[in-house]
Amino acid sequence: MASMIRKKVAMLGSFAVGKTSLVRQFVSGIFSDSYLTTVGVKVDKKTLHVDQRDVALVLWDLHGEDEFQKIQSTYLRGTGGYFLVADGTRGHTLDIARNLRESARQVVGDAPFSLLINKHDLRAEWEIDDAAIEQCRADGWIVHLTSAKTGDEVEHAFVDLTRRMLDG
Amino acid sequence: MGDAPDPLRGQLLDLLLHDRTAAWLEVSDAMRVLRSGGDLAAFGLESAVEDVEVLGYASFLVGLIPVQSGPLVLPQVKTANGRYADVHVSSTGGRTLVLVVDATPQAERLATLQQWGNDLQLDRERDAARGDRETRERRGRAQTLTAAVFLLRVDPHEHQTTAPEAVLSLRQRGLASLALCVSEHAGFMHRHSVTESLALFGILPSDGSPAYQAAAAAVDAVDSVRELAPRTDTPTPFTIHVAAGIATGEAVLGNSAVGNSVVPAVFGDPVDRALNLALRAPPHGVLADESTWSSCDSPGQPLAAERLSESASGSPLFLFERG
Repeated sequence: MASMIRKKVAMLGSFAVGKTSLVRQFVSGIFSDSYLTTVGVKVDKKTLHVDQRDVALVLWDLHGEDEFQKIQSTYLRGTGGYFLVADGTRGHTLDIARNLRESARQVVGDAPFSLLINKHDLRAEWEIDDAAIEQCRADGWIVHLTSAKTGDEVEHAFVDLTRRMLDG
Repeated sequence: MGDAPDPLRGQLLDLLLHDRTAAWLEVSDAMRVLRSGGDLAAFGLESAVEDVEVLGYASFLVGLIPVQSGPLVLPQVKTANGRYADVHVSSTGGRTLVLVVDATPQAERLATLQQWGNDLQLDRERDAARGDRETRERRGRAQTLTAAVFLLRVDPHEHQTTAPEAVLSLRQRGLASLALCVSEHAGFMHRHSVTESLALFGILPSDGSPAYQAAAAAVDAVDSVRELAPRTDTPTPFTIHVAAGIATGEAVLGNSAVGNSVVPAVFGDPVDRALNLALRAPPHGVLADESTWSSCDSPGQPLAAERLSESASGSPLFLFERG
């Protein structure tokens, strides 16, 4: 029997943007409103069937980046693809995502990635405007407007990244 | 220490691990477990026994082995059963050694601190966003507010005998202290604009009287600056003097260009009046004119005011002090 394809996917972003909630929504279909900070890294798994292939995604939910706690580059070793996560209601989290893109590129090169602008269920309160989103797309980024709360675009974002990892 | 006698090496190992649980795996380049040991169950690795494919049981190793360059340390990895572990991985001669050491107590301590810090930061961000929204809504409309102008001064004679950097440092700390006090006591505050020795605040009504809030904030702010002392050693001790003027009236919030940036600013008659009062205020005094004093109708913390002699225009002035 052919061995299962396994791909490591990292979740990167500022703290409290919803990385853990996105993983929980994707893996278990669960959402909780309470915010619990992540320390270190939580590793989770989910198997997807994409283009007639079974792919086991190993999801690395990394602690949020802030001024006191920087992402350890060793966490990114062996990453097949990654998500940059920003919180639409907090504009500066997009700047942090952009900085993390540069850090990630130094470790994983041109591995596929997507930007998830999360908390789409709170769109009326967003600080990240359409112009900023269009700028990311103009830079060649794949952008998904997700809601870990409602599940909007979450599955699609993971499937799309998986497909690009397989094609890469 | 590799050449130390076995008993010493044993003691060293005990010292390093102390009461930390540990487990290890030896893995082939074909990803098969060659050997394993330690407390595997503590990390949910009990099924990673000889000849099984390791990635099915230790998914955190996906993409990592064999390690291409040097040993790898992954701190605080949350394992399958909820325990945190520091994971050390090194590859040599066609095999990879994986050492897993419990890091749960350290991770839990960090989590407590991190949660507190992140909650605090989120609260601050929410407050700032709310303030920005209010400012945007208010901008461009004439409204009643109180302008508070502070002037900072170092005695000219002392100034000549004092290192410029010491004066600058004290002034900067004085301005920062003013901003802090006003923000703490003045309810909603329009962002201040400052120059080297002048600070201007536009204090909007939140609940109660803006004039009263401004007076209370100004008295506290002046007191805070009064207590500052130079940090650097200077040939001659010197002090910083501060005086304030407050004036209530119709003003407009807007923006002003300063250097290469645009900063929020307050425009209108209260600014001119407050500046004139600050120029006339005695050292460490907060001066208000009659109309501002008469609008200080919030009881709050008691503030007293001394009625001074008639001003040039014939109106009395009021010097605030802590009641």
